[in-house]
Order: sequence, then C-alpha cells, then structure tokens
Amino acid sequence: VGKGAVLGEFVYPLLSISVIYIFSFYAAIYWLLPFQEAFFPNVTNFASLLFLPHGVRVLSAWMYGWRSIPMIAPAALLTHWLLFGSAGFSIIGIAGAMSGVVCATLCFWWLSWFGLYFRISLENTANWRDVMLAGSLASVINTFGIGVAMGNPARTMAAYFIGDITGPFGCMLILMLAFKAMRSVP
Amino acid sequence: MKSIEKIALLRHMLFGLEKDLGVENLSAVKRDIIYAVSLLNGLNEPVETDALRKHDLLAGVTRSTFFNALRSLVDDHHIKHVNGSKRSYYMLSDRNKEDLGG
Repeated sequence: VGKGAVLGEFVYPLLSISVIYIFSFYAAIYWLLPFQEAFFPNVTNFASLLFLPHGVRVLSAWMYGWRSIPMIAPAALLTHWLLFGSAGFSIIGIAGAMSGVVCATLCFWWLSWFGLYFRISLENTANWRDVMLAGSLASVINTFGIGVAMGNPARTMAAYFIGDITGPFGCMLILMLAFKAMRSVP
Repeated sequence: MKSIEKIALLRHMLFGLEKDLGVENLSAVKRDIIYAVSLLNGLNEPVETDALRKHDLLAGVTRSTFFNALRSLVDDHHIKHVNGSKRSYYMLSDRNKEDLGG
C-alpha cells in the first residue's frame, strides 16, 4: 500500500472526520443545548435533543465501514473527556464511549446479515432513509451504552435517543443545503 | 472505492433527500418545460411533444437538450408520459399540479 493511498484512504478522512466531529459536538453542546434548555430545562447531563456528532458517526460508518472506528475514536474520546472528565475514563466509562464509536458500524453490519446492505456502494443506489434506519438502530446501542455506563436517569437516556435520531437527519440536512449551495455557484 | 466516488455517492444520496423534501433546483430548461406544459393546458389534458418543442419558452433549446431534460423530468415524476397514443404526449404529474394549484 503506497503512502498516497494511506493518506487518501485513511489519514485525510481521519483528520476531516475528527474536525467535523469536534465542530458538530461544539455546535450541539455550546450552541444548541443552551437554546434547548430554555425550552426543556429538565433535560440535563448534556443530553442534546439534536446531537449532530451521531450523524457524523453514522455517515462515517456508511462511507468507511470498519475503518470509521479508528477514524471516529480520537475525537469521540476527546469529547467524552470534555463531557465527563476523568469520571468518564473508568473501564465502564470507556466502554460507554466506545459504544458510541462502534454503534453505527455494527448496525450497518448487522443489517447486511438480513440482506439489507445499506453501506455505500457503486452497485446499490444510496437512499437517505436506509442510512437513517441504520442510524436509528445505532442510537439504541449508543443510548444504552452511554446511559448505563454513566448511570443516567431514564429521562436523560430518552433525550440521548431523540438526539441520536435527529442528529443524522440534521447532519444530512446541513450537507444537503451545502451541496445545494455549491450547485448554485457557477 | 475512491474518495471522489464516495463523495459522489454521498451527494447522490443527499440529492434524494432534496427531491423528497421537494426543494431540488431544476435546470432552466427543465423549469421552462414545466412552465410550457402548464401554459399548454398540460394541467388538464396531454400536450404533444411537437407543440411543446415549438413553444416560445423553449425556442432556443437544442433537440438533444430538450429530450434529455424531458426524459429526466419523466424519470423524476415531474411530468408523466401519457400512454395509449401513437405520438408522445405529456401531462404534469399530480405533484406539480398541486404546486401549480391545479
């Protein structure tokens, strides 16, 4: 494998995904969460109802499969530390963080067992609903993983679940608008 | 798969979302075909291809561009081909009828 291939197939996507993940985390926690707390003040523990980083996980898993796990892990562990500090780095805390890292990839893999091959492919026409379905299943794993690891109450877990459902849709909407804007530039 | 192919497939998937949300941008020719069909009473009755091609709005459009745009509009269900006739006739799809208040 040449150096160019490693850069193009792994290093550049790793850097891009890390930057986008951290930016989307910042947007979800520092921009959207204060806005949300004005309307839903009782949803606590940094549970964003529009958790864009889950969309980054899902789209990364869709595009890169198993390779998305090491691509997402650095940024996901960094944001886990920002949220939970050293308390999040017990063995079970790390397991909770990793449930978020692997959940989307696992779901695309599991769905393929049932003939639902939703991963990116030149043969199959990609459908945003399929990606949403995989992302929604992944949100179940992530919600339970992080919720159980950090001992969150049911209300917070419900908010994680909602945020992980709306997050991928929000991400796709933002990307759709970006592509749409790019098309209008001659 | 190359990165450029991944980006293309991502873009294609998101264009599907754009279409489902009904916010896709049609090219100027496609838009003019829809306008011409509606002006030729395509809301209510089929419009013949020749009449469509001769419409003022589509006067400067080459034959290949016209037919490519027409096929694409049919594929995307903006207009529908009316079966059962020797010549080709087209009408606005129900979706566009609603948009135009038909």
